[in-house]
Amino acid sequence: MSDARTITCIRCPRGCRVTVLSVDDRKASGQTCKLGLEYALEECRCPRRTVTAVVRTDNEKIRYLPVKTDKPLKKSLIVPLLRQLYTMKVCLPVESGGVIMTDFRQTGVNVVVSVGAEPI
Amino acid sequence: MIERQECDVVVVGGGAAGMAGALACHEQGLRVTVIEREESLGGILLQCIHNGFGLHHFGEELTGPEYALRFRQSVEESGIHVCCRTTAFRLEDKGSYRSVMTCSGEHGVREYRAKAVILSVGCRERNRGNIGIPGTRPAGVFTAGLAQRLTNIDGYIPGRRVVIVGSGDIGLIMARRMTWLGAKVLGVVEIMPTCSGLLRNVVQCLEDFDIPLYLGHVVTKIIGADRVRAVEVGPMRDGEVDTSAVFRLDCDTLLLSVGLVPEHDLAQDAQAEISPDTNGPIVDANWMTSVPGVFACGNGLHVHDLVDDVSHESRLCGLSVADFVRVGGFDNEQLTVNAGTNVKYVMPGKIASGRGCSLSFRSLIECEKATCTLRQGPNILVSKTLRFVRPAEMIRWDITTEKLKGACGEPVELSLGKATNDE
Repeated sequence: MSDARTITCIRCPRGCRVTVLSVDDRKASGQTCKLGLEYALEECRCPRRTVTAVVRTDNEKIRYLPVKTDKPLKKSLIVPLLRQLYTMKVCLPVESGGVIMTDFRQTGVNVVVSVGAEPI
Repeated sequence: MIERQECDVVVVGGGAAGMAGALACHEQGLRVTVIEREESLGGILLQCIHNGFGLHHFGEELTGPEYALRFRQSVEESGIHVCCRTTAFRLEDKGSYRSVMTCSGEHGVREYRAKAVILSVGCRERNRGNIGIPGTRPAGVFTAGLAQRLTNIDGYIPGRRVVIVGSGDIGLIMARRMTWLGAKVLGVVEIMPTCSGLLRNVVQCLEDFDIPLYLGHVVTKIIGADRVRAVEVGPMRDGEVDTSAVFRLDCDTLLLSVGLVPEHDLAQDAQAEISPDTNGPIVDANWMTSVPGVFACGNGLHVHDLVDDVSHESRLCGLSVADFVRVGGFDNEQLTVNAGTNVKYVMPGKIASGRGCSLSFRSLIECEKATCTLRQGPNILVSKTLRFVRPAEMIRWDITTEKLKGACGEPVELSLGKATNDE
């Protein structure tokens, strides 16, 4: 990969425009921190995103809970993950950070509850 | 007989601003009561289930509910008195104290008498009426924040084919949310020539899904009897819609992300002066409104882009409240800060002479390498080069006491300009 590609970093609100000169040599310009370099290289190799959603609970007062992947997930696996999340039902109580899905499709990515809840 | 309670500070609103303000007051030894209308503390963060919060404040990326939880836990541990499911409906300055009238199902009407009040009441969304979209009035037109609440808290899907008006962050975030819920987002229509949300949201919410961004376009008509069936969209040419280029998008839902306005009803009720620039109350260097003992912070003061900035500002506000309660007032000399060239507004509009400050402001221009300068008459007090400025991104500038040592008397002016090469 030698063709320069410009990527807008999404790791912080600054949104640096990073031009990747070489993925193999880890060469890029325009980033203002090392997160920018890492993000831009990852984006060239295999784009990933943190996925957030809500899942149904077994409680009628608190019907949905916010969840997220604990690491960014390969983009092509986002829709399959969401499909599975939308069929799930989480039983309360559940703690903040509690894992509700482990190692999704052998990616090492888990789905955790952002903020847990007690049944009411 | 109305039940009466007394405390040092009443904080109206238990969102990001209220929690940070309350914690700062508590830390300074004040007796604090937080009034919150919803079931629990957290405010709008609770429906912002996406990540990207807290990078500045906590040094890590959190979702909205996680960010709120960290503050909520601190509030709970502190023993601050919190009244949820309670609405504050009147605020009055009684001279020796401030009176806040509240009501709740549990306690009925109550009066809180406090030495100081923090208004951390948040903001409201502008809606269809504010921008005047012509057409019929069918179901299916929502503000983006309402749609966000429906999808993320109540678990409803507002529609299947969606057009979004306005490229503010909530609109962009909702484009991704709706797509991930299986809906088709046909496009985001923005009247301005540039996007009004953060760049990273354009990337991860639109470009990731090939959602078109129609810059310099407006929705010219809403079509549909009972439910939205389509909208017409046209480009702007020289300040008018080019009717020859209008096209139709078949959709069942229109989401409006067309700006936020500070909720200033209580401030106005207390006869605080309201700023025409921000629509929030005018505050001085101590974050105090024109009504003594009434303070304001967060989106109820001016609309922020980042919650991290809200927490920072609200903490400063809380510390200031503590000074007020201890001494019973302020006697520091203050300088007016005016918005100069290329600056839309500066918050706060005053700084204490000879003391460091934290200025928040918005640029009117978009450029790389800009210099912001604080001047007093012909003298440059302090200046700083910024890598990149955009109207959509609030700039925060923390200035140390040292830099402002000599400043007293005359108003100062904050301006922005393209940096010269040697900087």
